[in-house]
Amino acid sequence: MSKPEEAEKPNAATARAERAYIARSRRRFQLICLGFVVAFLLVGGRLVSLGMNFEVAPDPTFYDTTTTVHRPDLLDRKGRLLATDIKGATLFADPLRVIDPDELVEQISTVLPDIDAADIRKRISKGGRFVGIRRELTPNQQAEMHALGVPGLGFIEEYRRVYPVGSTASHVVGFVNIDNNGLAGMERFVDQNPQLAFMNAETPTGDDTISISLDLGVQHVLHEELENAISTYKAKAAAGVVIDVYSGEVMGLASLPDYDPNHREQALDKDRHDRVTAGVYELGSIFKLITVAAGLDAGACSVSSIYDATHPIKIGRFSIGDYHGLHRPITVEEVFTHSSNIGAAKIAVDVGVDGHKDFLRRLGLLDSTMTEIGETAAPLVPKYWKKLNTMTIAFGHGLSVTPLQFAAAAIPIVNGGIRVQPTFLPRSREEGMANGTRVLKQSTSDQMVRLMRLNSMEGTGKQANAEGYRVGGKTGTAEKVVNGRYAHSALLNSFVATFPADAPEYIVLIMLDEPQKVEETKFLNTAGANAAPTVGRVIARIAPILGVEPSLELEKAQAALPRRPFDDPVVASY
Amino acid sequence: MLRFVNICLLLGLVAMAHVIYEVKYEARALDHEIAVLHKKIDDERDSIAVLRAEWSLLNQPKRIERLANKFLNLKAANPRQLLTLDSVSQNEFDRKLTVSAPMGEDGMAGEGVPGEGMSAEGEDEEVPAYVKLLQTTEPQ
Repeated sequence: MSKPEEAEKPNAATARAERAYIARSRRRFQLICLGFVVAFLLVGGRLVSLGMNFEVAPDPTFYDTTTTVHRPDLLDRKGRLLATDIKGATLFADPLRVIDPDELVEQISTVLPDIDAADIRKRISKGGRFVGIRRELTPNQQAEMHALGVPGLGFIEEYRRVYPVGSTASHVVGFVNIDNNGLAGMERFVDQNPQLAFMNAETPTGDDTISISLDLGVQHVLHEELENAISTYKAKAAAGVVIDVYSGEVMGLASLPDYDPNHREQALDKDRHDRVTAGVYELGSIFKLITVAAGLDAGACSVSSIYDATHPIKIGRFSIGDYHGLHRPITVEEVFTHSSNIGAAKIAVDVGVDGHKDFLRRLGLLDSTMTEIGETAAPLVPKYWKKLNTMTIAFGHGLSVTPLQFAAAAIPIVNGGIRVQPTFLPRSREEGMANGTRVLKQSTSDQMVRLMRLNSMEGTGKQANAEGYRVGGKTGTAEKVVNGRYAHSALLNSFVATFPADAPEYIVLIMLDEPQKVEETKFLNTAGANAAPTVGRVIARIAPILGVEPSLELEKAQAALPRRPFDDPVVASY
Repeated sequence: MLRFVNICLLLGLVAMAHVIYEVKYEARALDHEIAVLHKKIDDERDSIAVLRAEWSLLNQPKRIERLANKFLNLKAANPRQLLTLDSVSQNEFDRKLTVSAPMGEDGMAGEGVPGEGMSAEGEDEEVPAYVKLLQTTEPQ
């Protein structure tokens, strides 16, 4: 009994141990199962999450090879294309795959004859994986190169900026460098202000566009007429600008000689710089517009006040005389229409040195102006501003400003007295007026417009008339400083005009550098003979584009305006 | 019973594998097609950009002006040639219209002269006859 009992005892004990073992291992088994389930759930979940990801992975055989920035298109105010991007190819060689460098170079030169063969051979023999050969291939060149089938050559696609209208709008649009970054003009402004891309709705192809204030038609006319002026009057250079007097938008800006932005290396030539915003000039008699406005606005004189212009003014060793001398006492009206230096100087003295200076500052002629295409060149202001400076600045000598600033200063003189900042972005007239500040009395502006109209009906600006469009303006013939002296032969002629004079809408300023005495002008070289007719031709062509209605009746009515006859005795004399 | 289930599952597995294999290949083909289409769209976009540039190159005011001078017998309108409707009296307008009518002699154009054909139709009285004439461009 005892033996089996003894034998059973351990048996029972093992059985117990076994049961306990099984019980334990079942828990282990469950644990392992759980582990597997969790692991499979994780893997499955990840698979599902990958499957839910709908982003299309880029196919390695079609990866994007563009390296340069894609720029928004630039459009004019009516949506015509001024600058756009097209794809261009860069040709490179992969030295690892080049079989015979000499043959390769020879083959390339059949398509691109102007490559530097020795340099490329040297660079290929140095090894590496990339030897750039030529950027900005034309599609034709690329096709020919591809057709050669030379091993070891490859293309990288890059965006390339093209300017379909070429030099017509060069100075405003500006240009880019080879990496498509804006270097000048609106191109640079667009880079600095990426939010501009939201200005217009996206095109159907998903590209951004940016409109600028220029009108391509106006721009073309201005450019062409300046070109004609240079060839007709044998001038060295010419510049012109057209501004809307309510919105301040620059509708046209041209400066010749200019450059083709498709050939950006031309822009480096100093002679091709933008004379309208980057050059400062003593603009001469068109400053009388400012002087007379200052006199009228300050109440220093009225249109019928009389100034004695019998004798030149002598101050120290300087003498101020008249070009179109009348040699008698004249009214302010005559000071303007006969462009009397003596009269203008006396008006400025009546306004006072500080009053005159303050007036110039209010019109923005003493500080440079910030525009989208960059800051205008700083005016050259006399260091010590004395009575003599005031007198000479009254007729436009002694203060140099950019033509754009002068055109902007003429805005309040014709639009009712509101100064508006010129802009190269589209802006409504309401917006322009809302952002403007009043700097002149309404009455001053009305009288000035009448004087300008009078001047182009019977004064020095007769030739600026464009039939039906009621042009009003002022001539300016300035002598240029040559070797420190004012030269009689080197002139800088300008004409500032507004139209239509019964309700001015636009300012046109044209400047000609050193026009010569030619047969067409009856051997005259004053502004009335060359700058004025240029303005007339420009206005006759741009007025229909700008939607100004011609009216021969209004023109006739203006011609019948009452004149202030000169019959008073001399009341003021110096 | 268990064996039957296992066989079913195995068959299901094989069937699933086949389906997945098919789907995967189909998806790969579609992917390739997408990539090709994207590439084509890009190419089209590029050529649109080139065509747009070319279009505006051809539409330069300078070129249009040259072509207009060469092929058109037209000159830019002179302000003297423009009249507003308000500035012309009815009689003057009628006279000018009769003079410049292309078929002045036969009956067709004669009917077009206001005062005869138009008023007979009995339209609104306040509309001037010349306005009606401008509206009816169809030959009667």
